Amino acid sequence: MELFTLGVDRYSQKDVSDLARALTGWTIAKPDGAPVSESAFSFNAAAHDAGAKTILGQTGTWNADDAIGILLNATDGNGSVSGRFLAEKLWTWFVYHDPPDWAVADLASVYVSSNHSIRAMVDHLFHMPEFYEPHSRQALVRSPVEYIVAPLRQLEAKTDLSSPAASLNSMGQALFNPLDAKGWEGDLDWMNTGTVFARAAYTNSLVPNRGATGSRIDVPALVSQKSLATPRDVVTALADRLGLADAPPGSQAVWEKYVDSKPDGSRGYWTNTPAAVDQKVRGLLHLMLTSADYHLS
Amino acid sequence: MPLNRREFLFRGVGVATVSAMIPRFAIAGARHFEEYVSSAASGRVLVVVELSGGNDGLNTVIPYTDALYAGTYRKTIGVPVSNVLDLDGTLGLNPAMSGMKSLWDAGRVAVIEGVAYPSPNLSHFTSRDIWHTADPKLLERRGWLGRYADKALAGTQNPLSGCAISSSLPRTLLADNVVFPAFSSLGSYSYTTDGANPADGANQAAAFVAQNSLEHEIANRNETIEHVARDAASSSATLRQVASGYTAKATYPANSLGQALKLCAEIIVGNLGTSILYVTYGGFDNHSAQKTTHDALLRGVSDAIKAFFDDLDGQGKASNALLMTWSEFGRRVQENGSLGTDHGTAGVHFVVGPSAVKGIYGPPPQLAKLDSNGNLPWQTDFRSYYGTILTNWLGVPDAASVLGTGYPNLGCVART
Repeated sequence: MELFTLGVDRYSQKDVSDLARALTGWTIAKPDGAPVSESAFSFNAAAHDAGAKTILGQTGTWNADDAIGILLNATDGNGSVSGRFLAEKLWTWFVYHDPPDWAVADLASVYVSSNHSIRAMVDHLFHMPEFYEPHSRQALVRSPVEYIVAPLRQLEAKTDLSSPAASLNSMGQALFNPLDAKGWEGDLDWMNTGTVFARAAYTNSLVPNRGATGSRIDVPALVSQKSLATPRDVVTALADRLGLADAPPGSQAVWEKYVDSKPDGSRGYWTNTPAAVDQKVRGLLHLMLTSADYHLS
Repeated sequence: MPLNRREFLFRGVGVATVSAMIPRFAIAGARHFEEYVSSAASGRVLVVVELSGGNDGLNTVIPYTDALYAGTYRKTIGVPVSNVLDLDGTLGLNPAMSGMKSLWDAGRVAVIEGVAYPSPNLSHFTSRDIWHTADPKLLERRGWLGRYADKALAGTQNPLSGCAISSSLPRTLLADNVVFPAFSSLGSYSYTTDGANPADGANQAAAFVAQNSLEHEIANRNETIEHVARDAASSSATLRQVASGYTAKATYPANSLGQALKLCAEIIVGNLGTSILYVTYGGFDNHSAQKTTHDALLRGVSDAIKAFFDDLDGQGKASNALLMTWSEFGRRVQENGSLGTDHGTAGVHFVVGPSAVKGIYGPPPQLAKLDSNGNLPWQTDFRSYYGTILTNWLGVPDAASVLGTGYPNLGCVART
C-alpha cells in the first residue's frame, strides 16, 4: 500500500493487518517430489484466513483478489487514490519531478476509465502536449543504467556489456540491489563528486578505445557524410548524435574551443585530417558525455 | 608543508593555461579551502575499517587459557596456544598480529569483546545493513555516521569532510545533507582523459572545468550538476596536490588495506578538514581452508594499521587519528568439516590510536557457555561501541540522538 498502490498515510495499521489476512494462503510451493526449481506461486486454501476483514472501511470475507480490488478502487475527495499515486510515479519517471495537479488528475482519470490500464496511462502521457514542452526536456538526471546504455546506442558502439555493467556499482546503482524496497531515489541523488568521476571513467573507457575488444566506437563511420570544415561543424555533428543540439551556447563555445585547441592551449588547431578527427572527436565525445547537459535527459 | 593558500589552489588545478577560464571555480574553491583549514583546527579524524565477510574473532583474539578452545572447538584450525601473543594472561593475539601487539604494548589498543546485537542475524547482507545503520530493525535508511554527519558536518560545505576509500559508498556514510565521495584510489577520483593523446589531456581537463563553470541566468538543474562537478574537480585537484607533498614515514604493506590507509594518512597529513575516513578490507568469509588465508589477512590488517600509526607518528599527526574496526559477525565456535568456520554471532573489534584506552572491554569468550545454537552469546551491544566513539572521540553531546538510548559508554576511548 505504501510503495506500490496508495502511498504513505493513506491507510491505517488495521488496514495493514487485515490486508495481510486477506493475502494468507498464497505461497511459493512445489508439487510433491518435484525439485525446488519447480516451485511456483500458488494458493493453499487450508492456510487462508476466511474470516471477516475490514480494509479501507469495507468489511467482508475478502480474499486476495477482493483486497486488490478494494485498493485499486479506493477514492477520496480528489478521486482515485491509486490512480493519482501511479500518475505521480509515471510523471516523475518520464517527465519531471513534482508533477502539476492537473496532469495527475488527467492521468488518474485515464486509469479509471481504462479499468486500471498502465498501458493506457502511458499512451495518454506520451500524447500530452506538456510532455513535449521545452521545460519537460532535460528535466531528469539519467540513471546509471540509462547513462551507460544511451551512448552505446547513440554512438552505435560495439560492446559485450560486461564492463559497462561492472561500472554501475561505482555510479551508485548496483543492479537488482537497491538499498531498500522503495528502490533508488533517482534524479539528483545520482550525482555526487564520486559518481561524477565514475561516469567519466566509464565514458573514458568507451570513447578512446581503439582496440578490437571491449566497448568501442567507429569514429570515421560516426562522422562520415558530415561536414567537418570548422570546429563548429564538428560540435554540431556530434551534438546531433547525442541529442545535445540545443545545449546552451556556453557549452557549445567550450566544445568549439576544445576542438580548436593546440596542445599548448592556443587556438588554431583544427584541420579536417584523419588524425585530428581521431583525436578531437574522441576527446569531444568524452567532454559532451560528461557535461551537465548530457547527465540530464 | 607550508604552502601559500592561493598558490596551492591554482597549482592544484594542474593546468596553468586554464586559470583564466575558471574564476568561479577558483573563487568557490578559495572560500571552501579557508573553511577546510578552520574546521581542521579540531583535527580529529575517525578511521573506520570494515573487515568484510565476518571475521573469526576466536582466531584473532584467542581465549587460549580456555581448554575447550584447543581441546574441543578448534582442534584443527586453532592457533597453537604456545604461539599466541599474550595480552592479559587470558587472551592473546594471533601470532600474525605482531604489529597490533606492539601497538598494544605502546598502550594504544582497546580490544572490545563479544560485540553484536540482540538476536544476531547470520546473513552477510542483513547483518551488514544492521551494522551500517545501527538499527537491527532496519528502519533507518541512513548510516550511523551519515546521521552524525547530517548533524555535525552538513554546514561545512567541504566536499572532503569525509570520504570512503572504496569503490562505492558504504551505507555507514549515507546521509541526507552531506555527500561523501567514494574512491578506491586518487587515480579513480579524477577526470581521466584519452591515454593515447596525452598532449591533449590538459585541453580536455580544462574544458571539463570550463563546461562546469558556465554562467546561468536562472538557477537550473544544469547549474546544480555543474556545482557537483566543480566540487569534484577542486577536491580531486586538492587531493593530488596533497599527495604530491606527502612522503610516507613508514613502509605500508602492499595489500589493499595498506594502500587505503596510506591514502588516509595523506589526507590527514594534508589538513583538509576531513573528519571521517572509511576503508573496507574483504576476504574474511573463510568457510574452508581458513588457517592460511585468515592468518595472512590478520597479518595484513595488523601490519597496515601499524604502518599507518608509524607513519602518522613520523608526521606528527598520530594524536589526530582514531581507528576502529568492525565486521558483520564473528564465526561459529566449532570449526566445520572443511577446515573453516561458518557464520556466527559475537565478534571482537579493535580501537587503535593514542586516544584508545588500553584494555579488554566486555567479558572474554567463555566457550563452556554457548547459546542453544552453539554460538557465543553477545555481550556488548554494538551501539555502545559506536556511542563511545561518537561521544568520546567525535565529541557528540547526545549520541542517543543518533543511536537511541540505553547503550552505556564503554570508556575505551579517552574523553578529552
